[in-house]
Amino acid sequence: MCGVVGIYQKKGDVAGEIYDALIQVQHRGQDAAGVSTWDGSKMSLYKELGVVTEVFKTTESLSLEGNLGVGHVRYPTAGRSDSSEAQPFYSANPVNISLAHNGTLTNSEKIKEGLLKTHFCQFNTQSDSEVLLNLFSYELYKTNFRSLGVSHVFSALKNVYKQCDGGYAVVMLVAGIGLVAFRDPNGIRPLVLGKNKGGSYMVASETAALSALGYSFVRDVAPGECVIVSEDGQLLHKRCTKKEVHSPCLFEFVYFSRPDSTIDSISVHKSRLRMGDSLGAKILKDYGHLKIDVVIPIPDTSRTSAMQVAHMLGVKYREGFIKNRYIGRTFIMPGQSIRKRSVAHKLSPIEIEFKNKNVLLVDDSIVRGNTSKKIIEMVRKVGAKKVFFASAAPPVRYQNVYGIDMPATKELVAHNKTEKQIEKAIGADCLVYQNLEDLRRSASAGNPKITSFEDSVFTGEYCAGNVTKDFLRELEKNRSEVVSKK
Amino acid sequence: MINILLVGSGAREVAMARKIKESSLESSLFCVAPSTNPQIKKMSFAYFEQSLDDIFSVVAVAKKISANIAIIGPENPLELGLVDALEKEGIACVGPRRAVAKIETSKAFARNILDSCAPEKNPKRREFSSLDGCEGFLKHLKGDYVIKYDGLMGGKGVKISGEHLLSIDDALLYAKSIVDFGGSFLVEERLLGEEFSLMSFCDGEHCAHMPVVQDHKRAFEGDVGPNTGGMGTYSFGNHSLPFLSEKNVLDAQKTNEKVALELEKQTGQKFRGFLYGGFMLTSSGVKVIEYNARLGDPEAMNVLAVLETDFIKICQSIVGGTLADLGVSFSKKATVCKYVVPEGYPENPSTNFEVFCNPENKNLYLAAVQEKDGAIFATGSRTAAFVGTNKDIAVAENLAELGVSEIGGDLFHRKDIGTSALIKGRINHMKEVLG
Repeated sequence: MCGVVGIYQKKGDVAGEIYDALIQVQHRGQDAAGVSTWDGSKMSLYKELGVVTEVFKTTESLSLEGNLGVGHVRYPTAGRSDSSEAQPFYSANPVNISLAHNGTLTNSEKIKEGLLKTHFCQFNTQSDSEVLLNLFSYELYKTNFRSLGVSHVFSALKNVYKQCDGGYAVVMLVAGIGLVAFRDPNGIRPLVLGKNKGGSYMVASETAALSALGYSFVRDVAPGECVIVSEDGQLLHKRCTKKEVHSPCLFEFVYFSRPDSTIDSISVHKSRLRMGDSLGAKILKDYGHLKIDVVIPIPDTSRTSAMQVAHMLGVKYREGFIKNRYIGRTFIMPGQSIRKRSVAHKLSPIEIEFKNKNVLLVDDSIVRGNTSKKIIEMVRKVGAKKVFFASAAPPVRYQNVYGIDMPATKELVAHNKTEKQIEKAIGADCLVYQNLEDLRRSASAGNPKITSFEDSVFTGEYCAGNVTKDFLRELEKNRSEVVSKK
Repeated sequence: MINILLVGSGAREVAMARKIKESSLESSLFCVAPSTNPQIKKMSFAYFEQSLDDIFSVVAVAKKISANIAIIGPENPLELGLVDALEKEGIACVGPRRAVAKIETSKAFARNILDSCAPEKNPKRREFSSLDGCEGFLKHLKGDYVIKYDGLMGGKGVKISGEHLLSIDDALLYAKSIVDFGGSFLVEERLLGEEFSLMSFCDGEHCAHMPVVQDHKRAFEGDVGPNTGGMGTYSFGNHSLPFLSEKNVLDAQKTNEKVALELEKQTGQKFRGFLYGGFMLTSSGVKVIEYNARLGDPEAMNVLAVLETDFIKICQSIVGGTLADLGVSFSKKATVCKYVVPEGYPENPSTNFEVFCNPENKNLYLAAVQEKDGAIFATGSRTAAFVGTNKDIAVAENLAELGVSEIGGDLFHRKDIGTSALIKGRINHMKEVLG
């Protein structure tokens, strides 16, 4: 999972604004951060491992010059996690280009092979973003431009789209052109456009970055669309690929996005309220026999849904966990052993909320199941009578291939299990899952035009291109290497 | 609101239940079956776990739920006269009455029907109810013969020379076991070629044909090992198979149509249901191996996965005799279906072990399983099927293989079904046979 931002600023150096915007999308990845800027003659780049505030505290990081910039926060979904794989990536051929990318190309190996053979491209990393950069550079070169113009960029992107499968939201600086942003044909990964009163433009993964910096939301970048803000501040856009079914990633609503963001005109916060409503309705209908004394959310994401569940059930809602806010999201930490430790360090129960009570814990989703299991054990230890567990998302049974960090299918607790078998695995007295249909409706109710979602983590059905067995195996192998290196 | 009673709980019935739930018509699905299939149960308004041998208690269920249509999955209830009993109560059935179902339940009856309407589709054969003359006829066939028990034996009543019967003595011993049991049998010339299944929706007069499918009966890769209910199947996007000509497919379709009409002529009753022709393309043209009076399993999963027409509407047309007015269409996609079965299947299968899978996967079809406390247990017969669908059969095979290999438990499956190597082998074999 990654976050991207790109800003065209009317006047002055943009690096500070990019820094502020990156902090707003920091939740999308804490592994590395980077910024690249363009001042009309020089492209600068600074990137390092760590969160934004760690990466940009030295003087060299402040020497990024120019009024055009892109930034990136990353979690390694493909490739390895060291600083050379941080983004943006930079290329000087055929012109200065830097690129930052959220998502995964599902056929990057094939593209890479072609580039190695035909264009003698060199690759320094395992990252699919570097593949994308090289592919774009090569396609731009192939347009045979004498004087580079936007038409060359659009036609190069047409060819990029033809070759890429997967989910991707990309921001680029292209020397002589400006800020270039584009989104995959299915619109799996989010990307929004904003503008401020001074005539500056921003593209970002989430609207939260726009509002925090005083930009007003213009629109979502459409699936398969390329948006360019030229070096003189003109906004241009073009659809560069044939129309596909718009299928935004459902997990953005479940977990990743900030609740104050709006994705494809759907308020994330409202979608989570609806998730709580339907989950509560399901508990009333099918689990009416459970004597629930209190509903307690597992912080933070699930609070919105849990509150609605409590409301539907007519049961009190209490905060039962104190979260150590200095540890970061456990889901997003690579390496199983690190994860186990951090669960206990991160959450501590408030004993009196649990003692001698039948509690319903609500979480946004259950992925590996380790966190859920630990929490249930913890809650029993402080005296809960019965521990029921509800998940605002259906069972997560398959690996995500479009840019969410959900590694090996085998590590998922729900993989190859019925709901009862999962209940046993996490040690709950009763486990209730949201229905997939209800989850889809929770999101689509915010924008009836969207009739399809990228929800392969629940169904195992992948929408963008052909995801073959080889691809899945490759990804699973790559991911386990990443984990073992840490 | 249409109340639909589905009889049976195998993978085939899961496939039908899914098509019923997909329908644009509003319906309530009910299921009656000897075991609880969790996938069908989840789709059903009510599920009745009971034996199908007592047809009157099945009729009682149908009456209780005010069934409008009953769809019969397996063959045994057809032989027991379930359809006759349901129709007496005014319940329309997709599935033929007992007298018509004889096309499956009596091999001799089927051959006689063909004699009347498509004699060239029959191999050389003779019927026997004793051993008299049997040895002579076996010798006349020069060692290439098939002995078929004249009744239902779950696909295991057919023994073939050189495979199951290594000598005339073997053959006579098998024949004697049938006679001793009080049964009769057929001795047929053994046909050489490639088998294929052509199933048709049939309202008694009109047939709507489904894509051609090839089944794999043998338990192990390379078509060796004992016969099974079917280890897997594939179909192509053009709804034919690469070793068949258009003429061969038309020939098989015509045969199904003729058989449907001949059945009415001889029994006075219409064949309403799924007419399944098992064919073989030989050097002397398309021949009939056998007929079934229901959807094949696994074939049902292949064809229903690509069926575009509303399944409930098809069922209504079958019972209403209006199939000719309903355009039935299938998408132009290839399908590969693979079964996972317990270790030791079919002779000495491991039973009652836990199966790990995702029952909500739309491409997974649970079969011989029993739900117990929310977990799934294998009961010994074929456990679950997984279907891959794609324009390209190689990708469909990939998807099926990936899906089936993920299912956990004391299980095995055939990796070769639907692979390009296997299909190439079939094409070459056919070339050899045709000379």
